[in-house]
Amino acid sequence: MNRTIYYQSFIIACLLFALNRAHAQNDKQPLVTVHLKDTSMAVILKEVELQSGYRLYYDTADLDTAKLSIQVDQQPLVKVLGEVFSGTDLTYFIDRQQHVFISKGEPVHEGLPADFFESTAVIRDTARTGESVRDDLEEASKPQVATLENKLYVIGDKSTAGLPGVVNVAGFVRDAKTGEPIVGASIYTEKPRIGVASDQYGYYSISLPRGRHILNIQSIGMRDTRRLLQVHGDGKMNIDLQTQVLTLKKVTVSAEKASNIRRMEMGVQKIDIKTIKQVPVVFGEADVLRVVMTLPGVKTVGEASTGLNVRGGSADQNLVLFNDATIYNTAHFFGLFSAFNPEVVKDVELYKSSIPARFGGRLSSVLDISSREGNKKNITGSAGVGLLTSRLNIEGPLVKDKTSFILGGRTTYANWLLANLPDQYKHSRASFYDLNLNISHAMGKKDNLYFTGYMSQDHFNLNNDTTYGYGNRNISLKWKHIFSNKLYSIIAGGYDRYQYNITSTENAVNAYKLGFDINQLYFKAHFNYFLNANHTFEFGLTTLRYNIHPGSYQPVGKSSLVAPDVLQPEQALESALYLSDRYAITNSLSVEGGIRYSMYNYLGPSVVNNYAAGQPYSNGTLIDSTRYGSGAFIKTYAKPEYRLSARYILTENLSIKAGYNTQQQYIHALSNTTAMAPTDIWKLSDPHIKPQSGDQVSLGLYRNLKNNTIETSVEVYYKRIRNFLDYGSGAQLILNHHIETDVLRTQGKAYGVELLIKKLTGKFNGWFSYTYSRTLLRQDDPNAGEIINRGEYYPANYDKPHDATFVGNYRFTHRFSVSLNATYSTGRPITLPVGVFYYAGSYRTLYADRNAYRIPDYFRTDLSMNIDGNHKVHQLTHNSWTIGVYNLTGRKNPYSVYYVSEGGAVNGYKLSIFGSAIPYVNYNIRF
Amino acid sequence: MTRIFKNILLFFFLAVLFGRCKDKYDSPYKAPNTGYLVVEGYITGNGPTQFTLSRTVNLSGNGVIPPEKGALVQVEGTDNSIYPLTEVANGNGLYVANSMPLNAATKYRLRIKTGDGRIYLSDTVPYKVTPPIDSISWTYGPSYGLKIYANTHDPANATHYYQWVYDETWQYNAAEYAAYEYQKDQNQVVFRPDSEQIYTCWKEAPSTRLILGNSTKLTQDEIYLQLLDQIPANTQPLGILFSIIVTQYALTEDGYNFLTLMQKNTESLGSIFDAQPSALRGNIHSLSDPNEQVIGFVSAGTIEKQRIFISRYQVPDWRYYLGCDLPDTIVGLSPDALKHFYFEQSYIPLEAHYSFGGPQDGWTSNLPGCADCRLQGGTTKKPAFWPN
Repeated sequence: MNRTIYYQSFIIACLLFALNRAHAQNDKQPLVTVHLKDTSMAVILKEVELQSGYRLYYDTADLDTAKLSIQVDQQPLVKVLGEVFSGTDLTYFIDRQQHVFISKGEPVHEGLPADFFESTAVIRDTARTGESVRDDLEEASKPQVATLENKLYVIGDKSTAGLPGVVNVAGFVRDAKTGEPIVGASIYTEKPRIGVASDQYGYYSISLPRGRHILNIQSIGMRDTRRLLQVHGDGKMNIDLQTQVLTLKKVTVSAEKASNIRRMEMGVQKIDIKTIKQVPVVFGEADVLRVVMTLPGVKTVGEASTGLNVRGGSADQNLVLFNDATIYNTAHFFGLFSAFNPEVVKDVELYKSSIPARFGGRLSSVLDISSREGNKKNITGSAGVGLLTSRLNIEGPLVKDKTSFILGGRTTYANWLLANLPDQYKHSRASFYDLNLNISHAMGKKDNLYFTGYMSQDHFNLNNDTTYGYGNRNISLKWKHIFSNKLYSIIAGGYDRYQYNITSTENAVNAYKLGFDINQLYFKAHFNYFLNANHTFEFGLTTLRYNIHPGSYQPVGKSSLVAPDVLQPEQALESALYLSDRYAITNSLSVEGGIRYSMYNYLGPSVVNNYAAGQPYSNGTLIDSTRYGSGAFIKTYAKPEYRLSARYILTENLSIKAGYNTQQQYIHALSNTTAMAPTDIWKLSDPHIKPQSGDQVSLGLYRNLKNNTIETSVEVYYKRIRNFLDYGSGAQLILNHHIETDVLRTQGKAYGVELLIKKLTGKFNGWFSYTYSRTLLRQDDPNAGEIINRGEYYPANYDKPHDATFVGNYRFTHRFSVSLNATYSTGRPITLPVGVFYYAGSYRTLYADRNAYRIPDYFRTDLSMNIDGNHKVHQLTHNSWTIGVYNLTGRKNPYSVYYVSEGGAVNGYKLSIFGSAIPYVNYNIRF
Repeated sequence: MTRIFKNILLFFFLAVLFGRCKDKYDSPYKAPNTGYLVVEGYITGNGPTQFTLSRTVNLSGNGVIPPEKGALVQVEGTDNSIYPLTEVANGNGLYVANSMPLNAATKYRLRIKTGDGRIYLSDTVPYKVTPPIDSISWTYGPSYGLKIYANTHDPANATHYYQWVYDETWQYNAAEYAAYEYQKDQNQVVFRPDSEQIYTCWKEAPSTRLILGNSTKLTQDEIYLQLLDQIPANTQPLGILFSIIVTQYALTEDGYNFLTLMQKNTESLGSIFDAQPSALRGNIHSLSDPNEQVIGFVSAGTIEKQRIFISRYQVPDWRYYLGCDLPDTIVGLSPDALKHFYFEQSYIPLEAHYSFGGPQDGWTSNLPGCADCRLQGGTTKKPAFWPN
């Protein structure tokens, strides 16, 4: 740096008095021969310096970054330099001491003979736009990060420099240290205001007018940076960001952090793993889903559940994707832990309103969880030890800068604790584990391959010999190909499986094993096309084949009299074609329109029952059944889905957004339990069970305060749900050969308003959210089964009108921070008895209206302290401790309220999952 | 790992998963008045047919179930036969027909006309033949105590749905034997006649849970080790001699489903993964008002009974001993002492007390809690079926 400045001032001093002699020296110059292809200017100049014996002085930041091919034989120095600098604004001056001063500057340029430029022999490689600046810099062997910001990058062919119009710059944003892509980085220019965000692969594509620009790059947790660009034509530029080393200095926040103002989508929340890890959770294990539950519009029925209820949707109406793989059961260990290893997760994105057209198949939301790609530079890892679980994660390059892997595992050791319990619990067992393996591989500059493998397994029994086991298995392969700056594709395929089984062998005659599994094989092709600054198209197709074994009941052991009972397997194909266009009409007004045409085929072989027309499905109305052969198209449902949204920026800090979308769902979880149980049945739509459909209209207002350090938003929505399945009274859901007789088709509506205040920077950060929402269902069609509550609207199980959550973190020093969260919500609806009667030797309770009452309100506060070890960069391991208390106030939040007949009398009870404050400690190590 | 650390972890774990997280709950809501008719009974030909009619009450009520008296109840067959039931005097809504010549070829229904003139009619139900009980068996384990099971099978493969009702009886003693009794008229202590003994009692405990079983998932219509009751180890029921009589009923699928839902609604709720309660719909309808709710399900069939006895000697490990916390009191012979202790304080004379080598100087006595077995809920009347 100092050297550069020295040279620069020297150049200026020299220029002042030697300007007029500029081309008086050329006849005595040495001859130079250079044959170089695709070489950076810096290397060429070094070669020239070597051959000529002249000393060349220049600022590397001034050099053209494009690659050159030069072919000169025995030419004088000035001629060679002329060729090298042709098409650039660089000039030079040669003094008597055989020093060559290369600089940008008009005066020298004017003094040069015109023929220097006419005889240009520089052949510019047309493919160089595909090269990255980053490679260029490495060759120049001066990758000083500080100078990068001041260096001018030239993109595109200079020969087109004078043309008007807009060109495209694209590339990857990466972490300079690990080489991992940075998602959601904001890349923008101030004048004119053009901004884009990097996608989930760190890829960005921005359209800029030709000319010089300052490109600002910002991402949370990374140091803000900028690049000076001279844009002549389409080109590539990769950007490496440095991790932000936190200082006590005031954090400067600039206007463009306001991505929530400019962002097109509404109802989208994204949380990165760093934020997730700050939030205190029970047992101290960072939990992705628990943090999602603190967002406005997201609720859950209780603590022992990771099922999300998003904007009045049921838990099965969320599409949970982990690197494109569908995860059917997100719970571990009675729902106390979520199925995602926090060491592997990069971030979580929840779409609850504007669901992009590329997603479909669920009514309420898409929870897109992406994993990290693994460090591309070094082998590193981390480990954590908690009270009940521990985890280990190793990542690193397989081929440096090209292929990286990340391998993570978690397990629990609760069994030894259970074995120490008093007799009545002694024989309980509960354990789980999960494993992740992700491999990403860069094949050349245009292709990337991603492999994801995921496996989770739970086993438990509650002090009897009935053992429950369930698990997810997923593998997926994804190929990203960049056709050009404007078009890229992602082709993905994979296999997802969810299975559970229940085994009981205590009674030899009744010993059985019950099994259930869902298998799905999918293929997705997605294309992203940046037409120009105003239009971005996304289009593609997805197809998904389901294969469900809805239940098999088999004897275990020789003396078992259990008759094998296997429900017929179900097959279906769910496909969709989609197209969406994001259209920036003006700088302030943008609209996005998408259409997704989804088609569902219920396939044979199958035997389908036929019921009397116009009658509720029941054993009494069963007429006969029809047998369909393998591959027969038994029933087809198809419907277009619309995804519309619009954004209008009122002022720099204020915008308004609106959206409307429709959704179809062809697979349903059937449950009559409060929490999503591991043994819930998933049922495909068939001739009797129609797809669920829903639509939602929403409106939002976004305002940023205090230099954009505080984001606020208000969103309102109204939603309709059709053909939602509720269970009939006394429904039998497991091993039911005619499940259509036990479920009810209900219609629902949900509406609400969501408020969010968020501060993500500074010593104090966090968010506060408040939601008022209602979810009501109605079953008033006598032909669709039993009428509930006289056909009136009744609240859904997860209807909790008021919900307020505060999540905060205060950083006292670099190494010590305290997090607090507090949450309040209305108690969920419950069916309480309306009376008592005496029957079969006992007082018993009489139930009438479903969900007519509520359990007491919920309130909880958690506190945690995060203590980091020292922050020296060069040490073997980095340690940190998390110490906290879950449910600080020890409030016994009722999970359920119920009445039960015991010993002849009726007793009412209130059950809490956590009856006291739960302290925890967690030790984490990074290496 | 140190013991203390282990205990701390244990405490957390207990607190979390199984700790005192279950509390009494009193609903703050006021439920509407219901007063629906409740019908319980089983139509049978090989034993007395008994129907109990009552009404539902408020949850917050005092637990007194009003019996439905003065109703006309009759069983009607599809062969146009009619068998009236007669109301038992002071029977708290119990209506009985001792024997009816019913047959499996006919379907039956129940008609009720309540005192207020409303008419209720059940659906017609088939007359099921209940297979005999193969055995009532039991197992003993020091941790769980005594488990009693029913075993049955239907060679015809026609029953599939079963219900059991039991009635347990056991013999037990008071802690101390009272050989004497106090006569308050004469203010004197006399020998206690056998007919007034209060040392040996018999207690009865009917089943309070719904016990249901089915064999629909088995290749044979067989029920093996259907748990009826569990008696905690070293408790009173097996202190001397224990007996259980089990009645087995065959049910239709609908009848079984009704009772299963009632069982789910009222016995197995509250755990995390249990089903939520839902409305209960039986097969009895009001002719006067189709929307009126009636609780109950009428089933018909033969019944099978079996009684077994289990003696303490069959379970050598069973240790039950009823001690008396109160020390014996020596009550003097003076009329004032007798009056003070026996009349005013209800002491019971056990045996004569003699001074060392001398004459009787009083009565060894104790309070009824130690000497009167009836205070523990039994009666001194020996049941007819009890062996000697």
